[in-house]
Amino acid sequence: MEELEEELAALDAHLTRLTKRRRAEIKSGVDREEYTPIRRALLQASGIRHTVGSLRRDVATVIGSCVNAVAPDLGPADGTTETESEPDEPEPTGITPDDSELARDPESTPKNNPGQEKGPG
Amino acid sequence: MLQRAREAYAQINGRAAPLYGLAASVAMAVPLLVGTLTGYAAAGSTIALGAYLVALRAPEGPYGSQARDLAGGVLMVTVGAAVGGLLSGHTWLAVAVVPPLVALGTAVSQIGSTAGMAVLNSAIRPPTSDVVHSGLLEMIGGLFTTALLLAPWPARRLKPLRAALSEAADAVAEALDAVAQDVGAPDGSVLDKVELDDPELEEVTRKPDWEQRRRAASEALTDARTTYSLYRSGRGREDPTRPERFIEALARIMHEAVTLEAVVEATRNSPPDREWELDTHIAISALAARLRLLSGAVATAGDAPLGGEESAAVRRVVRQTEAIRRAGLAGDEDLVAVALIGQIRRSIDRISGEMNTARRLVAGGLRLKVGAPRLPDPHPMSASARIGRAVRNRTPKFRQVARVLVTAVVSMALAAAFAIPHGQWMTITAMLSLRDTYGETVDRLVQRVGGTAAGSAVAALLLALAPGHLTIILVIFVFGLGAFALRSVNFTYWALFGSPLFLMLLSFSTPSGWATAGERIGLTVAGTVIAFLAVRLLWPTGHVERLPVQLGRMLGVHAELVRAAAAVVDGELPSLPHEKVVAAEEGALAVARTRDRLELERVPDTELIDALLTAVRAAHRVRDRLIAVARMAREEAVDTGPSPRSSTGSPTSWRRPPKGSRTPRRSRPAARPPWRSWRRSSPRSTPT
Repeated sequence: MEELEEELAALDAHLTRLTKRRRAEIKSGVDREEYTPIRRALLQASGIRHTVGSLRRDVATVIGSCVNAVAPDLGPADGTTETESEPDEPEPTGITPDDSELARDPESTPKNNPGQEKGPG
Repeated sequence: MLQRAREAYAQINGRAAPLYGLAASVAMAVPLLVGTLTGYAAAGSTIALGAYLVALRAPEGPYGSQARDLAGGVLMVTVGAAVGGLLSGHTWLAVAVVPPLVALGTAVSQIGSTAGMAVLNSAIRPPTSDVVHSGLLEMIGGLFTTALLLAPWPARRLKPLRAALSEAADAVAEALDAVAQDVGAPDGSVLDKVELDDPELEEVTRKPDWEQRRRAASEALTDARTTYSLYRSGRGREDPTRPERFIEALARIMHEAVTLEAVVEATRNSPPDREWELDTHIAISALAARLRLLSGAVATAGDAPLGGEESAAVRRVVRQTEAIRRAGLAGDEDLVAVALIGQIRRSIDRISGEMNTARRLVAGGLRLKVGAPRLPDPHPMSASARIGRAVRNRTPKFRQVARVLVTAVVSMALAAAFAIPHGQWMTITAMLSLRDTYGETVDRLVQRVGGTAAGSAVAALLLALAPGHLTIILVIFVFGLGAFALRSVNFTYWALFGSPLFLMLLSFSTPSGWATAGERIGLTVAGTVIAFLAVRLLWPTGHVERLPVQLGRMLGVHAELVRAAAAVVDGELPSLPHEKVVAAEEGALAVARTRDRLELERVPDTELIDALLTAVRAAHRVRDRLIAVARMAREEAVDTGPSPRSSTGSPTSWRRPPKGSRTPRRSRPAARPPWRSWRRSSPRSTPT
């Protein structure tokens, strides 16, 4: 699990870097209509990051519930809680305060940038 | 108990089948009428009994599949009647032969109760010297039923396929509607807690449950594939047929809907500042509406409108997402939010594209040529191996077969030992009422006892008021229509109309009255008691014992799917293998079915049932998320190349590119995922 946490943190950091690079790419004068590799990668990583986080929770729930069903005496296994009934916490976007200066309009409110509220993932 | 009986009588399990009822009742009434008018009432009665037994099979699906099922039924009735004729007068021999046949019917769905019933009904008739004659007469009745049921075949050959395709398209449209409702939807849990007096209000006041609709769509697609596979003329072709391509287009739309739902969920955590929800909601709803038009066109064979290829709602969402993208480029929007909105737009685009593919297929006509019949595919395991496995593992099926066998032996032995007249009623009630679970068996017994009592009394009253063969034929026709048409709605109707029907068919030549009706009711109650004792006293159903195996299988197939998704992300596979997705779905469904059965036990283990419900729901979500990850990862798969301002190689690709562009990962098993190696080797370098 620890290794998985590291991997997910790395993915968050990767997304942060992608955001910065895309912003830098735009500043460096790349045609805004051009479908650049960084733009594509940002598109992919942004959707996958959230889904992989949810996947991790659901896998833990499946394993926990199965263990609970066949061996209730073992006590609640990791992830036995049904996560779907809990409100989804906003996940960190992995954008650090530094990044957010690049990624966001300075006038925009922080409520729409969970990464800014929660800090680095 | 009263509440349970009320619930059992109020169940609605399916739709009425009036044409099937009409065909079955005509098949019984015509031989009786002809036999009575020509002075061969006994022969007419035997033919009608053959017609009744074959009609009992209630075949479903394409007409080709129905024909195979009915042909098997006719064969079993013919042979069964002859064998039963040989057993006539040998009561204890019948006790030795009939129960194993009934048990075999429980084990093999293609046999069902037909063989056991055919032998039993002939065995109770007075001994005759010409058993082959009886068999041939019943065969004529069976063939007559077969001819009537298959009469619409030439004109309606593709109707079952069209119905299945239309239902699948509708179910996918329902799933799309659920995604649309999830776009920017407020928390529905508050409304869910409100108890509604009118259940019909639920549909309009509650947010549709995505997971429920996703499962329904998945099941509908599986049904469509199964129905298609029953058209044997479509098998063995190298190029997919149009119906097959239509099913695959629907499956791709469904997978894209799964991806779309995942991205919509992600966008909830990182929404853009600008309005996007309304247009997206409308666009997805418009796509669902277009799919419903296609469904209507499929169901009516092109008579309904197909709708246009272009959608104003989709164009509008494209404009809106473009505006958000430009705002992102100008620094006015979070780039992650912009990317997520871009994903949503792409998903909508792809669904729209797939819908156009499906539209072209429907416009061209979903035809399937008539081909030579093919032999069924053999089961991968031999029959002896399957029986051996079932016995070794004491599977629920094996336990059920053994329970039916013991119950049939006991009831037939009791009837034989005490020489009970019409003892077959007790045997039929006892052996045919045993179900897989305690709850189902009790429901079935309640329905059978109540329906039989009322039906037998009504039939006796009618015969008392107007005795005579013509009255009996009229009652048989009306009761046959009610029994066969309403059997799929509730078993009570079958017991209500079917019990007196069978009673009159068996004793058509000899008038029956109040005494016979009373005997029937009494013996049905006795059979009910035997079945109830069997379900209480005999061994448990074995569903709990099978759970570890089923859960292990479910976890195993999901682990396989995770590995396949990882291979897709790594570029080793182009997409998730369909069979692995189906295996994951079936693994979860097997556990869900066991859970449903455990709910029907006499004392349900609520904690276990809750744990299984949680596991199954989470398993469905795991599968959906893996589908979404695989689709998102394969989208526009490119090697992003070195960053202009970075010296650390590939800056953006955290998964492997497609095959051919790089060395496959397996050749470098120790390699870290790119984002890890990139993170560790590269300092935070912000290109400037």
